[in-house]
Amino acid sequence: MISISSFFLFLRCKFFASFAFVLVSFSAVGKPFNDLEVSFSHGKSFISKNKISSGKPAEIFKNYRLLLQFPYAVLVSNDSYLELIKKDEIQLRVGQSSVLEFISPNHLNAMQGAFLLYSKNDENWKISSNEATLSLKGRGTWMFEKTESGDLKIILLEGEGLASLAEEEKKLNFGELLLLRTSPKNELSHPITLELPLLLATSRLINNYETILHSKPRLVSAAKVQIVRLKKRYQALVGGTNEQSELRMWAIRKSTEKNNN
Amino acid sequence: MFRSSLNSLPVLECIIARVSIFIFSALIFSFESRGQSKSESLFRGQQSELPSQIVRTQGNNNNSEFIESDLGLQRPVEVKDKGFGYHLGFSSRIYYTNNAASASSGVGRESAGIWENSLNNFFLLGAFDLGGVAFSPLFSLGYSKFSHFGDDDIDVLDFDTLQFGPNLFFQFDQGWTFRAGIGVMLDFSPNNNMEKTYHQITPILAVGKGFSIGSASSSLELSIAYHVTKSNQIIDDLLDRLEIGFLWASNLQIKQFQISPYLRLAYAGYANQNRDDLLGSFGLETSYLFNDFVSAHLFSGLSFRSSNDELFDFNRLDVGCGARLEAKF
Repeated sequence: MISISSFFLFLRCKFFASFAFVLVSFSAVGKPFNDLEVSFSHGKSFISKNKISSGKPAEIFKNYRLLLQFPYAVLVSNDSYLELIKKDEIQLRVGQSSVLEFISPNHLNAMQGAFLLYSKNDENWKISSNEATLSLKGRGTWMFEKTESGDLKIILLEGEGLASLAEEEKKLNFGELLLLRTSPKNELSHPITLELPLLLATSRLINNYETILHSKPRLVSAAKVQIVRLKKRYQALVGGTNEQSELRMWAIRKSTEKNNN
Repeated sequence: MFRSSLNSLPVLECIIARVSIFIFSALIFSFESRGQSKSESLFRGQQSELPSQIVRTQGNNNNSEFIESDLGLQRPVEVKDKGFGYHLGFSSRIYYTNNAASASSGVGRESAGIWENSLNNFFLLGAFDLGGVAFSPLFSLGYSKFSHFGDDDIDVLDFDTLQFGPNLFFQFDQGWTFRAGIGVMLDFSPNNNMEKTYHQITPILAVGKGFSIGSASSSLELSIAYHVTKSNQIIDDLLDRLEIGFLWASNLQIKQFQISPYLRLAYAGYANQNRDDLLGSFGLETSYLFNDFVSAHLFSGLSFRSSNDELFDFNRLDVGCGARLEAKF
């Protein structure tokens, strides 16, 4: 038989357990890059305590948990790919020859290379490139690339997002590319819409991983909607940026010209 | 003859209408549209498929930045805000049929020539991303005129058809689709002061799947429909029926040529008569696309019905040619 005092003790324990759970849950809110774990690694990837550390970066493998104090950096070698996850909430893919610094639980620094980030929920976070820091808000799948000139390309593949730089704000829809220009001053470009089916079919950040991208159905539906809404394809491709932080556009030569040449 | 024709023609028209809606949806809502070849297969890892000739607008010719980037190829496009669109098509076909009235046998079974002119309008009422599901409402409106020739009395079979109705298309991952719609079809007799001879209202639900066979794109659709009918017979709702259909359509494009086979099988159970039908039709259309607006066609189709009342059995072969004008806005 259970006495009344044991019953109240049980209730009290249950209350404290629930309270502790709520506290832990709240502490994770707004910290998308806490408690990341390696879910896929191809080739060689490393973790370094911070960028000025003299210590040798340590190689990381699948199931490695990133429990270091911020800041730290993740380095991915040539022909290597790395994916970090936080349960089913965050999926962060780091492309080949890339270096990504985790400044804080909600702040990344794109030092080199290309990245893909999927967030299941609405998140507020920041990404820096050189001296510029961009605030991003929203739920979706993003891709980033630091160009050789130090600018940052931001592509929203699906979902909705808001990019803010100081007083400047740009709303992004799926398929749009935004450039964070770092020369002559830090500013955001006008968004350019990209052909999603082509991008999805040719992106190594999407296709070169053995794991499934959680947002794959959303990417497919965004691409299908874009096809129906399509008005015009330009005979050009977007490249990197020049020293004036302008996007380089490349013309696609038509096959007839090709044959003549 | 009249009884059998009245029982048969709506069935054939219905097949044509379904194939038309089905093919339209497959073209509009899949990755098969013309000029889309580089973008057809999502997630197939076509990273090596860099357009072979890329030239920089300024400076040195060097496309290494495309090869080295893990982002993928970034081609600028222009898109509509919501995806509202209008597709207009006019088709004229002339063909031979060995059984103009779709009769089982006897005097009703006559061969004839048919000249068919159709005007089709598709109103695409937007495209919306529902987070993993692409949704598009569509309204179609079409008018077709069937004129028979080759025999003195054959023009009694002439009829005009008006078809309209909304359709809601949902597209899921892996090529799955779901369609819900209502189709309205009205037949008129042009040789009898455009008297309405038949109408049917058809709610329909359909599940489909798009896939590839080699370089051809294919789609399967399983549908269930109920036809609420009214005809100028003694029992005016005699043709009310439940129909379960299976449709396969494919499209292979080789340069300017397009080869499009289709197969449809259906079971029809009639509500107001003791009758069950098995319907089938298969055919092949070969098209030559002059440009995005004009195309010419050769086609053939075989259709049949097998019923528990053999009065309604028939088979029919159509062979002919035609031309189509299309415009998209």
